[in-house]
Amino acid sequence: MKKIWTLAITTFQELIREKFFVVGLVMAFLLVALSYLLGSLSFYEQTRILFNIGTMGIELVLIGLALFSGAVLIHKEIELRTCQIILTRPLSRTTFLLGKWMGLLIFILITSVLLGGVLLILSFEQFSNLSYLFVLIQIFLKVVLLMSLSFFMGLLLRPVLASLVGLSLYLLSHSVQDIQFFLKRAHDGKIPDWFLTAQKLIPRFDQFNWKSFYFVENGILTNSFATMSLHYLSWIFLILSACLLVWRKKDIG
Amino acid sequence: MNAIKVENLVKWMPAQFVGKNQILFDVSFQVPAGQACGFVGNNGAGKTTSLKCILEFLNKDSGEILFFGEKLQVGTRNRIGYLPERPYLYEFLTVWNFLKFHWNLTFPSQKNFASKAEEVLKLVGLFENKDKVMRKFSKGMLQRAGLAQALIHSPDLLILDEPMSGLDPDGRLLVKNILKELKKQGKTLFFSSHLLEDVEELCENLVIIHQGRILYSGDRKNFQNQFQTLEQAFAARKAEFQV
Repeated sequence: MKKIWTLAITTFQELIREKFFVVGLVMAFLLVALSYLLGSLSFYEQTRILFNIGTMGIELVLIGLALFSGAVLIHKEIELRTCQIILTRPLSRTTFLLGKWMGLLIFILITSVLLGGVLLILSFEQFSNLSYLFVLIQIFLKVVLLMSLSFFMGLLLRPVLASLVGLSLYLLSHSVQDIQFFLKRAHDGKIPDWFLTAQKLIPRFDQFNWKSFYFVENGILTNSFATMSLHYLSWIFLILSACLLVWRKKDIG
Repeated sequence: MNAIKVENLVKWMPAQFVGKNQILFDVSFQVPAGQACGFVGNNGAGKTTSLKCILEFLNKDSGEILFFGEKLQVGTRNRIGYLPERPYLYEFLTVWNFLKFHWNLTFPSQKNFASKAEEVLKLVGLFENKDKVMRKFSKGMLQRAGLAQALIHSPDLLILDEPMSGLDPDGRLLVKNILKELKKQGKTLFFSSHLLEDVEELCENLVIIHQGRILYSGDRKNFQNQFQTLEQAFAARKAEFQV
């Protein structure tokens, strides 16, 4: 466990020094500031606009960071031969991969807490309730899932393609209900069986999209939160297991 | 006792479009413990691929590789230090923290890091720069930092891929002197190089690879025999192979 932690901390230190992290952070602060300015234009809807645009900005920036850093991390280690030095040490390939993944996780966690905290401060703590925490955790888990997918694809493809696969899944999964609607109309009100099967094979971001002030106002049921967590955590576990399977047999170099 | 014994190593790699190309053809050689052995060949001869197969970065198609008579396991890895050709060394770290990182990966619970790091950094001549971020290091200093990393856990066997390539004459001399010092300490050195004069100066043993096949494995002086330089002997053996 100490070896995983050593790798994770170094990975985190490496990631926060990357230029894309600074760019992402600046963009996130700009989006949150924009939501604050737009909110201040409306007297009644100030908090709603701040929340809706702020959480959207946080999610978009976190997803950008996760997709890019996830796809690049192992590719860079292989290309620059850094992992060869590490893997000569008495540690398994599994330990190495878990250490790198854990480093990414810490990176995303700290960025999420930072951005979530800024939004909360800007709202003068108007949405400092449990539902806001649930919304932030939902965004975090979604981002970790996409990060893991991009990490996995980064073991098989070039970083740009790996990031695009992650982005495609994000867009596709958010559009499942829209696609369903159009298929229903095209097939006389009946959804084709292939689509019902296919939608079970991808994580369902559309079912747990809580980036709306409605959820903070009305609250999120603990049951829904538990279902969301279980759904995302299962997918993360599945993808991480696939990463380990591929990595154990992968030619490095 | 052999530090490394390779028998009938075969490696196929995917071709650019379709099919596979054979890169290593029944590669067999030994590296005796406590001696220096040069792994020589032209660019693209299969030196780096062989090293990667030996250290299990690449999956071999067939063959057997033994380190000190054992297959490569977690315990065996403690006896090996490795430095690939011009790697990226987490240059945002100081050389001290870089060594600490590798120490923690090797001995998570041992506490005598400071004394060992000091000893190794003095050996490679970087102790004065121990708190300097490696981004500010020259190429030669980075190479020596890489060597320090390979030595931090006092390995018995040091495997180096082109340790002198890309260095200026001063840098080469420094690295050569370090390797000579390590030889005196009784370490086994196995390094690939296409700089034959370095091999001639440092090694008692020689492995020559050409187009994925071993042309010679054994005593360097025997190989050189009637030729004045290793370069001439190498050229003659290659010509023999072509015929």
